[in-house]
Order: sequence, then structure tokens, then C-alpha cells
Amino acid sequence: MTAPKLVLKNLSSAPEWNLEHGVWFTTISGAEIVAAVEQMLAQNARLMGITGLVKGDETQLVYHFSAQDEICSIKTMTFRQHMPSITPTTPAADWAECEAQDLFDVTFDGHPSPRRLIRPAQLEAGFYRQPGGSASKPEQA
Amino acid sequence: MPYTIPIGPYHPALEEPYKLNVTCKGEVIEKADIEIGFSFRSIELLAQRRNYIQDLTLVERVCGICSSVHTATLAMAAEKLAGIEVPARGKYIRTIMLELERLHSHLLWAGIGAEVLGFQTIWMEVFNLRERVMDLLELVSGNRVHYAANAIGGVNFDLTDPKAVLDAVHEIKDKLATIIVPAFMQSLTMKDRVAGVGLLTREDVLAYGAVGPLARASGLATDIRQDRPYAAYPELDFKIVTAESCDVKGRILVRALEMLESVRLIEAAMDNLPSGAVRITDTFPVIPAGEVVMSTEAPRGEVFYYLISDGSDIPQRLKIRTPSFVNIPAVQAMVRGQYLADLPIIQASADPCCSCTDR
Repeated sequence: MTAPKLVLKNLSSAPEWNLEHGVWFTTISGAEIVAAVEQMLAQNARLMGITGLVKGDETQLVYHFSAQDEICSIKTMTFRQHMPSITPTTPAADWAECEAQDLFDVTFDGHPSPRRLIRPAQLEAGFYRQPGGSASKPEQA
Repeated sequence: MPYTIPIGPYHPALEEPYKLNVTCKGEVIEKADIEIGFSFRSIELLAQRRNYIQDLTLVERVCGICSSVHTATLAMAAEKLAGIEVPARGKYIRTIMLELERLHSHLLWAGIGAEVLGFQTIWMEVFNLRERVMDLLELVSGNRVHYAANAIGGVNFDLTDPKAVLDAVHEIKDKLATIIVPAFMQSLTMKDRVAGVGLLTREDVLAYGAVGPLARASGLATDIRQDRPYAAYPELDFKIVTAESCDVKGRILVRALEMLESVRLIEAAMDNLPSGAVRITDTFPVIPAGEVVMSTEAPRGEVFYYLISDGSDIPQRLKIRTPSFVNIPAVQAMVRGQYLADLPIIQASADPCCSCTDR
């Protein structure tokens, strides 16, 4: 298989799908995320969630979709920590975007009600912007 | 003139701490705003600073009710990345633990639902039966909650007394079929109380991305155990229970019949339990660099873990999306136009788990 059953068309970034451990991944431009999500929803895919990953001063956002037996994940990068909101397109994104705002300090342009959702009031937005994996180990003397 | 009532985060009607700001006109709810985060523990961040062995213990504590499904999902995500094949007996024991957990979770919900409705007798009967399930979980794993069942490459213990397990399962099935399920499905008082209450249309389910019994009670026949089967589920047959009424009655019906399906699954797994090892013994699991999404069907619906490994023994990124995170927002649609007196059972019917939601 070279592509999932779900297709993305008429995007300037012409995304190609890669299958990794049974999950389809692709990368598109952040400016086209609303168009891409509209296409996914029109094909009866369900938005599972949005994952944030720290990439330098920006954040990579991964939008995960489920369509019966397939999982398709769309990767995109913020621009100056901004990303168009998909909440006006689907209410399923409301909490996912608020969570990414709390944890990674991403601003979702056009979100109808951006608010603190999961973050304790004492913490500043973006407190998940810390290294994970081997970079999280303290340096040994 | 509309008025707003704050309910929570600590309130007798709420199972776990979250806040509902309910705007009413007279007795009718116009809208509800939801606040969460009262149980936030930054588990994802903690997991990204600990190795996989520590993380199995950590993610088990995302929730006390659906603890085993979290360790199973993390273990299976790591196994997928590493290409580890779990022995058949390990897969079956993993499945048995997951179904016992579903059973105890649905019984917990049924008891709380009955108590919220004022049906105290059934609440007592259900919790009495749930104690038998907890006894069985303790017999198998040593713990009533947080079973430490899963390891990367299999499970941590074997079923050393299958006859005792089967005897207990038969007793539970008998009581479910003769007392609990009929009480929920045949009681006229119960049916009249919850019919037409807390409507969540199929369109709303799709819009909010709701999952699990909440979605199945609105007619969506979706279950990760069949859509993307894992563990021993490809070899076991069961029915996806759905209802078309889209109300609290439908959600009660779905969970009641799912309990019977869980018992059948446990019996089938016990009858066909393969012999052999319960976990890999010849290699120590090493998780290579890569990324994977693993989804499972928790008692409340789909859980998915997105794991990114940099090849070290610590996950670079571990995203945990729990079913209540997508189900609780649907409460906003369920309470619109409903009576304030029905709010407790409507929000309870979503089976909200704030430990899972907040992580």
C-alpha cells in the first residue's frame, strides 16, 4: 500500500503519505491545515486529537484522524507559534487546541473561545516546552 | 432572566472533580460551560523524563478505574516500535485483564448511575457484585486496582488457578444476567426516568468526536477492539452493542449488555487459553528510534498513545489522549433544553473520568 483510503487533494504542498508501524503520516503547510481538515472530515474521518512537539522556537502539531481501520496523522509547523484554528470547522478540536495553547504556548488564530483549560493558574503557558528522551537526562560529571 | 449555577468541582452529584457552569431559564438549561484541570499532574511531561519500565508504573496511575488499559496501550506501542511479538498466552491474559477491568468499570458506573437516580437498592446490588470482580482481580494480580499486569513483551504474572477464575466468572455472569441487567432494562420506573433524557444525536457525536459507549448509544457501531484489533481480540468473537435512542436509557442499555459481552469474552479467552510463556524471556526490550500511534478500547472509549522514541530508554514524546477528553465536551450538547433536575444523570451518563481527562 502506498497511500491510505483517505486522500488530500488540491493542496499546494502536495502531501505524500508514509506508512510507519501501521500509521500513515504526512506533512503539510500550516496555512493549509483548515482545508486539509475539511477534506478529512468530508471523508468521514474522526479527529482523534492534536499532539504538540517542541521544535526549537516553533511547535510541530500533529493532527490524528481515525477512519475505521486506519489512523492518518497530519504534521504541520507553527509560524511564530501561530496556527489557524480548526475549531470553527469541528467542535472536536476545541479542547485539543486549548490544551496545546496551555502546554506549548501556541496561539490558534480564529479560535472562538481561547481559554485556560488544563493548565494550573500558577503556571505560564508553554511549560511543556522542555526536552524529553535522552535530552532530559541530567548531564553526568 | 437566565441565571448561572456553578456546580463543582466538588459536588455530591459529580463523580470526579470538574466544574459545570449551568445557565438556566427557569428549570430548563440553556447552556453549560465546562472547566477541567483540577486533577492535572503533567503525566506526559513526567513520562518524558523516565524510562519505559518506570513509565509503565506511571501511566497506570493516569486513572484508577481504567489503569490496565493505559499500561497495555503503552506496552503495545513500544512493542510495535520494537517489533516485539508477545507470546500467545501473554496476549490472552492481557485480554482477560482488560475485560475484567471493563466489567468493574461498567459496574462502578452502573452503581453510581443508580445512586444518582435514587435507585439505592440497585446501587447496593451492583456494588456488591463489583466486590466479586475486585476479589477476582486481586486473586489474579494481587491488587484490587493498579494491577501491574503489563510489561513490554507480555504480562507480569500467569493464571495459576484457571478453575477458580472460571468459577468466579460464572458466578458474576449469573448475577449479572438474573439481577443486574434485568433491573436496568425491565424496571418501568427506571425506563420512564431516563427515556428521552440527555439526547445526543448521531450528528453531535460525529461533531464532538465522541467515542465508546456514549457514541454506541447514539447508533455508531464503532469499537477499537474490532476496528483495529489488538492482543487476543482478533481471535475472539463478540458483538458491538449499540442503541438508537441517543438518550441516557440507551447508554444504560449499552453498558449493561457490554458487561454480558465482557463476561462471554473472558469465558472464551479462558476456554482457549494457550499454553507457554506469558512474556518474552530471551531478550531485554530495546525501543529503537521511531514514532507510532497505538489505540485501544478503554471502558469509556478509545484511548490512544502517540509515542516518539529517540532510541534511548526514555520516550522523547508521549501523548496520551483519553476517551473522556472527547466525551465530556459532549455534555454541553446533552444538557441543552433539559431540566436542571436531570443534570446529574445526564453528565453521569457520559461516564466522565477527570483523572483521565486531566492527566
